[in-house]
Amino acid sequence: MKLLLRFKDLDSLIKYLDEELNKLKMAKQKLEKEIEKESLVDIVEMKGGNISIRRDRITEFKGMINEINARIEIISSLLEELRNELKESNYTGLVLLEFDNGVPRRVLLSQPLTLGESL
Amino acid sequence: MIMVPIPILIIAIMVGMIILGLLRPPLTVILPLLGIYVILMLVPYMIPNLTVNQYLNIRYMVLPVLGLVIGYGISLFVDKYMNVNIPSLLKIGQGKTGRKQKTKTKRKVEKKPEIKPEDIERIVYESIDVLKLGISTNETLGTWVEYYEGWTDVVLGISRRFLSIKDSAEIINKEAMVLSRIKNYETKALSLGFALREESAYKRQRKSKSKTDYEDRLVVYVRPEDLASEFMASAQLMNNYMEEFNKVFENLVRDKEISQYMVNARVLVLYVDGIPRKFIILHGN
Repeated sequence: MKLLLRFKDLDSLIKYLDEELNKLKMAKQKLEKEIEKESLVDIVEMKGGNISIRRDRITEFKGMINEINARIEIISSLLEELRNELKESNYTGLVLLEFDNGVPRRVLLSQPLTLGESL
Repeated sequence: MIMVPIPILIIAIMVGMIILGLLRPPLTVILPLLGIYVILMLVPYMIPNLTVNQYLNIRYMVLPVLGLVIGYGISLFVDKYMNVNIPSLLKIGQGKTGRKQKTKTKRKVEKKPEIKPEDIERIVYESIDVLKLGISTNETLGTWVEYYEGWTDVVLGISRRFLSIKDSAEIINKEAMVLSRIKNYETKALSLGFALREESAYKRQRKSKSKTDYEDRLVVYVRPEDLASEFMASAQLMNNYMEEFNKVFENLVRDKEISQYMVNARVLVLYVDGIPRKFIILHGN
């Protein structure tokens, strides 16, 4: 399933991706540290309209590390290609970030078109 | 001549050929073996005085071939329907058939990484872990984790995300209409004899890269009017998503107990399908 996020220009997209990347890296570091310690945590969960709290080992979230790593990787490569592609100027056309099944996949930029006489 | 009891000889040959078949060796192995067998059978014809064994007669040629076919058949069948690769199970086919095959399989691995048996267990456990987290279909913006110190920052972080997604959804909603109008306009213009011209940036990217390369790119140029239907679909999806997000967020902020409980906590916020669902409160330092 595809989903689009719209940005007002390329700079704001890059800023957004940068911020996401930093958040992910920070969260990964904290999560890994706690998993290593196998610490006991309180888990507050939102399900429907209810909020539940339980105490458990953080190790049940081990699987998240892979999700985070995959996201970090794709966002890094998106950023890299964006910076290579348009280093000169801030692009202000249509700037879209495409999510494919919950994962940011591509950046779509509008192709300026003009109407002219057909040849 | 030592007489071997006949059935044993036949059984031995059949078993040998079935095993050979199971291993599915290349023709370069099968043909010489069959050749040797045929020669052995032809001995009595070439040297009439010598009788090797009555079952080692050309008439019984069908036996080893049958054995080979049965073995080969079983091996293929098991591989296809039960996913058991007998040759690799018996660790043959790499050592004996030499380097050629090795490099071949190596090249295959590079193209499409195969899952090693020892990895399967790990992958299964990881999938179970992921399932436990309640990730259903991984829709909308996906699943990830954020870290905050203190409840205020958690609320701030979530509301900032909510607002930026809402902005984006609103713009997309509006633009979806405009884009479909442009599309209509273009078809009309085309029918009046106007053509669309691509401007420089797009051309540049297309020219410099081959087609497949172009498709692999992470940053692509598109004609916005071609996205009209995707905009519509996105807007629809976003509506439901924002509604759910809003509900969860309101519940969270309104709950006095939770906010008091988390005032100074260090929190990992787990987003599932783009919605903050779980809050992991870390204790100690």
